[in-house]
Amino acid sequence: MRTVLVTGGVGSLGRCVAQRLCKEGYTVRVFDLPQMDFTGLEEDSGFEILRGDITQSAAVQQAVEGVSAVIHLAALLPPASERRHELTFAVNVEGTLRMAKALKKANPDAPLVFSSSVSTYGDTTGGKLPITVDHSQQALDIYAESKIAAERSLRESCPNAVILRISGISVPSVQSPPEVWPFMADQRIEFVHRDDVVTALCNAAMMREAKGSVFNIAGGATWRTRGKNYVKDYYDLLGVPIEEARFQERPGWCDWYDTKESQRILRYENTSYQAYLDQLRAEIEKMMQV
Amino acid sequence: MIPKGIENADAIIEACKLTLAGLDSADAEWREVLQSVIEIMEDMKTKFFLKTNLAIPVTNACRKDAAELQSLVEKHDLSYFPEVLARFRGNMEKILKQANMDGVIIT
Repeated sequence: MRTVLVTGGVGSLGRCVAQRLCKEGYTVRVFDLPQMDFTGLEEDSGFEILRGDITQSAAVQQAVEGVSAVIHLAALLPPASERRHELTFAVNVEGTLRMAKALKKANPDAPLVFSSSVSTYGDTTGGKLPITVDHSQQALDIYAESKIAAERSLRESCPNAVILRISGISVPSVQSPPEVWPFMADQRIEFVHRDDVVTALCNAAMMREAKGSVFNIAGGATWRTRGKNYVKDYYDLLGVPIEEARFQERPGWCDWYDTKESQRILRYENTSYQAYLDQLRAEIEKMMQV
Repeated sequence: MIPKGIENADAIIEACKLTLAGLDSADAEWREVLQSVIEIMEDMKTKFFLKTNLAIPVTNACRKDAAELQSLVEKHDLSYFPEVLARFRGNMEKILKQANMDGVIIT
C-alpha cells in the first residue's frame, strides 16, 4: 500500500486531507509538531503518527522515508506569521526546502504538493481578469512573502513539485467573523469549499500530469461574487444585519481566478456556492436545536 | 432595534441583579453563581454570537430561568431555588459552548 506523508496533518485542513486519503486506502503518515493534539488520528485507525518539527533535518528525513508522495501543508499562518518574521521563514521557506531535498534523496520520483496561496499575487484589483498563474507576485504581508520565496526555491530545486495557490477556504460551519473582513465591500472574491481543496490536494499528489505545475485553486464560476454579497449571505443565515460587518478600506488579496487548467487536471470544483450555503444553513439549524 | 440575543442578555443580567438584591448574604454560594453569570453575560454582550439568531434559543432558556429565580426570591420561597439555579447553570454552559465559534477561514 502506498504511503503519503501529510505535513501539518493535525491542522484543520491537514486532518481532512489525512482522513480522505485514509478512506481512499492509502497509508497516511501524519506529521506535525509534538505539542499538537493528534486525537482522532490514532495509529490503529490507519494513520502513522510522526511527531516532529520541519525545522529539524533528522525529523524531516524520518518523515519522508518510504513515502510515495508528500502533501506539504505545514506552515505558519496569519496572524502568527505576521508577528514572527524569522520563524515564518524558517518554517515556510527553509522547512519546505528541507522537505524537498529530503524527498529527492529518499524517493526522487515522488511528487511534493505545496500549499501556496493566491495572496502571493497581492493587490490585483486593477489588473486583467481572471488572474492567471503567470500573474506577477507582490506580497502584502510576511506570509505571502514567505510563500513566494518557498515557491521560488521549489521551482529551482524540485521538478516534481506541484504548487497550489489556494484561495480563501470556506468551511461550512458557524464561525465568528473577523473584526474587519480582509477585503473591500465591492471587491471581487472567489473562495473555495474546503472539501474541494482537499480533493485538489489529494489529486495533485496522484496525477502524474500535475507534476511540475503551478495551479490556482478557487471555487469556480458559482463562487465569483463581491465581498459584501459573500458576507451578507453569511450574516443573513445567522440573522445578523449586514451593517454589523466592517470591510477593509484598501484592497485585500482576493480576486477572481483562472482555474481552467487546475480543474481540467485535478477535477476538484465539485461544490457550488449554493451547495455551500445549503450546508451552512443545515449546520445552523442543527445548532439552533438546543 | 436591539438584536434579540442582546435583549435577552440584558434581561438575564437585570434578573440576576434583582435576585442578588433579594438574597440573604448567607447564601454565599448562590450569590457567587449569580455574580459570575452577570460578569459572563456582560462580557458576552460584546461578542458576535449574541447578535446571531443562534443565540436566541439558549438565551431564551436562560432568561426564563433567571426570571424564575427572581420570582422565587420575591415570593420568599426558596424551596425550588437550588433546582432552578442548577438548570440555569446548565443552560449558561450551553451558551458558553455555542459562543465558542472559533472556526477559521484559512488563507
